[in-house]
Amino acid sequence: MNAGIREILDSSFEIFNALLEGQDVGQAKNRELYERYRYNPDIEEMVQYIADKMGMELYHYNEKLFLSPGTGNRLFGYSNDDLKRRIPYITRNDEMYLCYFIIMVLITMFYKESGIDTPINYVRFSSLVEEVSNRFEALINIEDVETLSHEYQFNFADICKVWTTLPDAREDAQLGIQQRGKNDKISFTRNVCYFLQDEGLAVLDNDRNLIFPNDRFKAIIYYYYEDRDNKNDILGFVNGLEGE
Amino acid sequence: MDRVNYDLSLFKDQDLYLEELYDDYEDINQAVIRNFRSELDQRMEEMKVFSPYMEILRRNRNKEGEEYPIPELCMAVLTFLLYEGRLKFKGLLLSEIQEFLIKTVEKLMSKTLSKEEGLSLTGEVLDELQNNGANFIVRYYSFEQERYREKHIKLIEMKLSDDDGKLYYYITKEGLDFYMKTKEFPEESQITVNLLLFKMQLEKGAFQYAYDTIRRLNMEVQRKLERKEYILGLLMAGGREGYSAYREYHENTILQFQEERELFQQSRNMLQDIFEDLNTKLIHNTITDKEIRAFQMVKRIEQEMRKALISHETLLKEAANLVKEYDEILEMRRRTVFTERFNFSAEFEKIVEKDLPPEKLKYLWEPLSKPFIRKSFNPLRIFLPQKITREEDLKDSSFEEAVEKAPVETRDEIVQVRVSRNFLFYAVSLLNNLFLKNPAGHHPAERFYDKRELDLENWCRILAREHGSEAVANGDFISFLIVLNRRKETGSRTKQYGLGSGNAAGILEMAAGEELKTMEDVLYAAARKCNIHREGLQLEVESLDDRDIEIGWGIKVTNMKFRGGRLE
Repeated sequence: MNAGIREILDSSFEIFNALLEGQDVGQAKNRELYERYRYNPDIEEMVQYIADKMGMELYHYNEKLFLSPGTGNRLFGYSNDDLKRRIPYITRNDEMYLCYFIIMVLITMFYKESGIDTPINYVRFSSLVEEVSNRFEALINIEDVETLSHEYQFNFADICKVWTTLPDAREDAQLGIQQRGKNDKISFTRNVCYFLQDEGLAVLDNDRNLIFPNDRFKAIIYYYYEDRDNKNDILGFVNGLEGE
Repeated sequence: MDRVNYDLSLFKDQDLYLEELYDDYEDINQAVIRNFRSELDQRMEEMKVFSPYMEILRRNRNKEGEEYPIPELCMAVLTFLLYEGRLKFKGLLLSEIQEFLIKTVEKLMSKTLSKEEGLSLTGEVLDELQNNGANFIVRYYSFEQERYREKHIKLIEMKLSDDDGKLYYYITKEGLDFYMKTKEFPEESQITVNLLLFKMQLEKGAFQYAYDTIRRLNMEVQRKLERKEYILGLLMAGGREGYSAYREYHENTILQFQEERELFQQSRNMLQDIFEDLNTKLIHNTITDKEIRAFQMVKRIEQEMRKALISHETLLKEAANLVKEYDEILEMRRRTVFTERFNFSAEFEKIVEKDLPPEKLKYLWEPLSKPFIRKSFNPLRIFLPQKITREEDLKDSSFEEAVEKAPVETRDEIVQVRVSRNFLFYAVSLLNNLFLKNPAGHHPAERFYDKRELDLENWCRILAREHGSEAVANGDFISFLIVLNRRKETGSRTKQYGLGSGNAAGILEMAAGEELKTMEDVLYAAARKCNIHREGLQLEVESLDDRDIEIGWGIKVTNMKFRGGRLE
């Protein structure tokens, strides 16, 4: 193999592996790797190529690199079972779907639709809990949740039930105890927020009790979701399951 | 109403711009209107930075019984973020802002705030500056674009540090712009003006003024740096505004850099001469008191000068990069033909309203997750009964022989004995580290320190140091922790075990190599081994839910705190 190509491959795999291992690659961390990517177009092209062939997307945003597994990635995406193991305290499917619901509520609080940046700088933790309750309340008001479709093993009525049966646990919050778990709405939501924090998407600032989006979150929202092909992929997966 | 007829020629000398553009117009009103229309967007751009502060003022001055002058304290925090943050190239922590506000209130209002009051006031001020999380929005009608437009403004922002994972607060470009516009002049040529002024002040020996000027100069350089980021933002968003700003920056601002650079060089040389002159006098002991004070000031100026030079060099590099970045953005914008907004709200609602399977929600957010690498080794396998003999490798005949010689011992039993022994081992280690003997005590119950604490993380370190890392990575260790935390009261994070009671039979069984039935038995047996099986002594376990620790094989466990002591 030509020595030049080998050098490019070495660097490219080094960068790719660092990203795959979950390391930050950017101006602040792994700077040397980042600069190789940023200032050598051959390496940049090769890393992009590797990511593409592995079914992933690589984005450069705010002097950092971010890797996304995209939607429905069998090799590098989470399965439902993986997520059950990954999110602490979550053991049942209805609990896990409630986590998905909370994640989506939070995303929509920051972004009604994708864009270059969110107009919202932070969301109060209490507002998130309130918004989740409001969404479920709206669901109850639309129709009797019991009459919702039972075509599938789980439906939103089940998820709603999990949420509404949880106590608020506001006394603890007032005492400043920051629990996570699944025994009350606050702990449950906090648990989801910590999962998002581990995924590098948001930060839960316990001093001011607010949630604040990270660069990874902003980068992928802008680059991934605004790509028409990616959008079609996502909707394809959503619709593909409809018949199942 | 009488119509006023303007003589266009009257305006010619006063407003060449109007003449140039509109001398074809018969009616000067039309020219004014046209002029107003084309300039409005730019004027609103200039004006928008004042809007947040006006909103803060309006909101707070209408409040009844205002305890603290929040808008003024907002300005104080902006000043702090500029001088202690931006001009020192760093962000500031919440605790630093809190400390600053406590000091400000103490100094200016003669009030002493407790830490909690300080934190609450800091939260209030930051919420005001951040408009409770939402950007400040100025909505106005653009006659040029014939639609309402919104300008979003942020005075401060928070960023998570990659180095220490903490949240830092920064003044934004708009915050800086606002701050400068309230006192300084906004012209692009401010760096040059300040440099000329600085030179003059140095020449005249007005060092205090020169110091103020160099600090102002520093801010101006920072503002120009921000201008580039702002232009990039505009370009990313698309539209004519970005292109005009880029062209203006490219054609005018960049041209000024060379002039600034030369002036910087001249000022630096002049400062160097003054410094050396005073230094020589100091060495030869011919310096006067006045010159000593001047020398100290020159040193401070020199420090600021160094900062300004570094920033200006960065500015030059960044400006040079702008062309490349502009091309990249153009390329990206070309791609926008293939892009469209993803409506999260609508897609989310569609799934819920149609009552589709909730698992579909995952497809909407999973691109945001990190790539997940499945481990080839399943860590949960360590919970399965483990093979501890090589019986399977032996020939059938010898297996039969063994069966004949000894009563049947099932693998489950073997595992249970192993688990019991290992549980006892861990319990002894835990108690030994929690109940240190106090040689000064006379009564047996006094021989132990009360209320000693140890967290799981530190205990793991002790175990690894004393018995090797296998002691922590062992599956039985995880089982021990799980059983120890079982049966907590609902909503409680703690569980207590008395050390003065247990199943005596269990202990006897243990001696015979049998299993211990419950965690209470294990702890009692361990307490006996440590000679601390006293009534009234207890072990408390509290899970610390906000932190996970890794204990080997990639397994994460919630951190927990152990307390040993006398029952209250």
